[in-house]
Amino acid sequence: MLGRPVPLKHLSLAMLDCDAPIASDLLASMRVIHLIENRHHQILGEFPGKRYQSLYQKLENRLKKVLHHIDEPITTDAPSGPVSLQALQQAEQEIYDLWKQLSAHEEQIRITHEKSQHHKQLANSLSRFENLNIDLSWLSSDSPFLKFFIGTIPHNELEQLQRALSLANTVVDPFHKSAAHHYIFVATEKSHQQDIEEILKAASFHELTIPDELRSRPQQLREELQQQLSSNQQLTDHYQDAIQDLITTHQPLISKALTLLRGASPFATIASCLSGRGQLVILEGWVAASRIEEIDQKLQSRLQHPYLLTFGTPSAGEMSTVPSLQQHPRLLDPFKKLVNQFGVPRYGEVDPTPLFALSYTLMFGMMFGDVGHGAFIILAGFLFRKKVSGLFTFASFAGGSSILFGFLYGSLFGFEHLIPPLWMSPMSDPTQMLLIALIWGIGFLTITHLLSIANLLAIDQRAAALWSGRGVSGLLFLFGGVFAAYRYMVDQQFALLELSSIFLPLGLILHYRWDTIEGGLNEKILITLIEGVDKIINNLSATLSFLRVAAFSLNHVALAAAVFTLAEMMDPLGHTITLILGNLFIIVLEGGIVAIQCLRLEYYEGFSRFFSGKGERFTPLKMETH
Amino acid sequence: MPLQDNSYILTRVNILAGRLIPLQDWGRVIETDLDTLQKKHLCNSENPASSEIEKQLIDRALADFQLLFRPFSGLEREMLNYAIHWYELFNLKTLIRGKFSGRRETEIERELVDLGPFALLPLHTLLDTDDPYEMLRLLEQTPYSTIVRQARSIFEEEGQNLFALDAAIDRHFFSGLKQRLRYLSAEDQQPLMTVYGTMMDRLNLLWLIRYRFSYQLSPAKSYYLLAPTGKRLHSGKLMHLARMETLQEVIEALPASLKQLLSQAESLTQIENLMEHYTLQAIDKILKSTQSGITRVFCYLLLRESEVRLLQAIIKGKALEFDEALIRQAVGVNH
Repeated sequence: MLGRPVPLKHLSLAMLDCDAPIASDLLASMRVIHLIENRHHQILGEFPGKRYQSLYQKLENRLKKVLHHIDEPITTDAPSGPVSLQALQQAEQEIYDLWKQLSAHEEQIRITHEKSQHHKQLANSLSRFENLNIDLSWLSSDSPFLKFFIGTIPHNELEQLQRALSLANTVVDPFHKSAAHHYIFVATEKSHQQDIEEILKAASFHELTIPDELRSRPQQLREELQQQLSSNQQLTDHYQDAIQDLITTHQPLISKALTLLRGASPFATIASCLSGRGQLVILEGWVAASRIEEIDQKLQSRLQHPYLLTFGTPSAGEMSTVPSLQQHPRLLDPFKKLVNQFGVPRYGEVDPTPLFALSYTLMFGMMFGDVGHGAFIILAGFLFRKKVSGLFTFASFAGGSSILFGFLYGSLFGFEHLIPPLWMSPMSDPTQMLLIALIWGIGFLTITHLLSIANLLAIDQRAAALWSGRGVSGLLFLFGGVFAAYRYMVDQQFALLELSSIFLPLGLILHYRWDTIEGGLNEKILITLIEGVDKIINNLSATLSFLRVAAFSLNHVALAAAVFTLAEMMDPLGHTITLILGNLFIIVLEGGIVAIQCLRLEYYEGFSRFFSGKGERFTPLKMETH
Repeated sequence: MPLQDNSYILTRVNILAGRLIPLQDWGRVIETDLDTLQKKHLCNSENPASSEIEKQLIDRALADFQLLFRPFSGLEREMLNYAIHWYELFNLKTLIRGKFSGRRETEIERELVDLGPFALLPLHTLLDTDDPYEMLRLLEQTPYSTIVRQARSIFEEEGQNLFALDAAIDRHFFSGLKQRLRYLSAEDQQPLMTVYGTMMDRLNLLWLIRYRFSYQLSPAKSYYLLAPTGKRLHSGKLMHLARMETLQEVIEALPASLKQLLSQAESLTQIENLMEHYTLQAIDKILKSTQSGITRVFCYLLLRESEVRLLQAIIKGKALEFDEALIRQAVGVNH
């Protein structure tokens, strides 16, 4: 039941460059290879797929920009095989031309939007200009000595601008303040005009052109501005329509490019791992040992030229870099996701997914045993199955376990008397429940220690497997502690034998730790002492941590009892409503807490003791979908 | 900030600041051979002239900043996060310049700094743009939108006017920083404003000299492009300095301490080096004396930024086998 990741072999495929796209297409369709950086990069020194990869990335990037304008999904054909460099180049150019046209329209929309903002500003401030105590005709008249500007600047620019322009004998007069801008009037000597214009531009000055009609025909000016605004809107609509027209006209082109991109993805992905010299290229990766023959056969049937295919077993030094391929029945997928939230098992390490699935399910049921609540969880999982992938399977496991323990406890929607318990109600003997939880915890911790020993041996750390806190000594320390506690609680004995059962294994652990600490004597003493105390506390707290399994089963019954007490205080309708709402409350709140508590026990009392989670997931080369 | 957190920060910064290269030791650093320098300051890098050096040095600095920022929250955290974006402005300038001058993506990418968790700019998306206007449209959706609008108008009106763009971006940054300093408590604000003012004195003086005498800008435009919020060089003083016609006149018109410091300086590079040394000394002094945790972190941030910059220059210079005297001159070490 406790599997290790699938055994892998190191694949090295030497072939002619013209066969590389075919090989990549084949390996991608088989989804068998986890690519790695080529070890021959330094010797061979050439990267034959670089140009292809660069073109692929450009096409992908540009297509993304084009697809940004499309709401409906585009239908694509299945790729008909490897894509040539020329085909990719042509598609890239065509999509670039299309994007250029789209971008030009986008820029026009932006400019039109800015114009609209300007016109809106002008329309909003017309009354301000009407009240301005100057003859506006001056502003546009060509004076031989003076130049005037009227416009807006952001608030934060005013002070700095006023000071700066005072150095050029220029007047800056703010005559109105809006939410974002100051309206200013600027008067300067003609000789400074160019300098002032540059400074104003740097200050994000937006000039407002005041038409002569403002004084004589303000209503007409307002109408004209409104016309401008509506014409801007029409212009924006026009460009947006043009974008849509372009998209519609070029839909076949986009669809074709997407198909090409999909077909090109295997070789583009392989390209970064492909090195070669002249016509020879080499590809390397990890494949499942069980698929070696199949790979060879398919390569023989598809490649047009001779090739050299070699496989190697991972060496001890490579173990930490070999990816981890976890294979489980699909039923365990949701549990695998939860395990991978903590980390991926390293190659050679025990994959905890099946153990996790079993222990999690059992603990959940023990803590939340109720036939009705379990059935409700399954129903909820079924109803929301499309929202969260794997939810129904997970809910079926957890709910199924709840139903099973519900029958054992004789509990149905909190009613403790409707069905006879096959075992006992938790409240009938809380001490026994706590004792069972303690035994469960000791069993759980024993298994985690055994797994830890197996994992340490798998990576050839024999001394650690024997002497460390995660090894045999750690396990003996756990057993010694349990034995001493049992003797003390049952026989009231705590003498030399009990003390030795704790401190002998602890001594072994600390001795081993002493040897592995690098540093001065004081540092060694300090670390060993602290870790010794920590080890004792940690083992004690980890074992007691499992008491929560019983505590929650008692809590479940107690919560139901509280709901019933409340319901009994109501009239018949209130009674029914309280029971329904109370049960919902228990399912949502307590169910959620139990789910999290189980996960906590698994992660912190389980995984952290034996599972590094530092593995790399096996990621097979495959056809990318766009 | 609670007292215990402040004590923690003061201690933390002291430990980290103790690892900074003292100002008087830079001469010795220049004399050190490249291998020793790399071993001491970098994890590994086969090609010391590559951008890998910059990346490693900055990554380490950012990791330290992350550690120091952790105890802060609210406005203090916001101010520190803002301050760290000084690094990101380099990226912004590089991107805008690079795209407008039609440089290749790979070339631009090599000069960009990866700010990791502090990054606000979607660098790869921006790099992937096919023309500068597309990039500006995308930049307008980032927190730098105000700067971008200004950059667009500068480019559209003044073409490849790089210093105007730099000035616009820097001015916007410093005004934002000052605004954030104002929100802090009085006991933090006072020392922070001193640091800020010292830093601005240096930058404003250098910018002013550059604008007036290298780019020959008018007094008005030179003054406008500054961020006049210094400690000794306040806005009135800077307006006065902007009217000066020669470098010597500017130096003569400076406040006594700066005048004495720069009295022998003849070139902008000399002034730049002297002012940097002077500013770093002042900041170092504040770091050692202040009891404000956030001020100490801010001082450390500035000193570390300068250390990273100088180390990069020295290592690159050595990798390119430049003369030691030239490296000394470039990093402003004359002893």
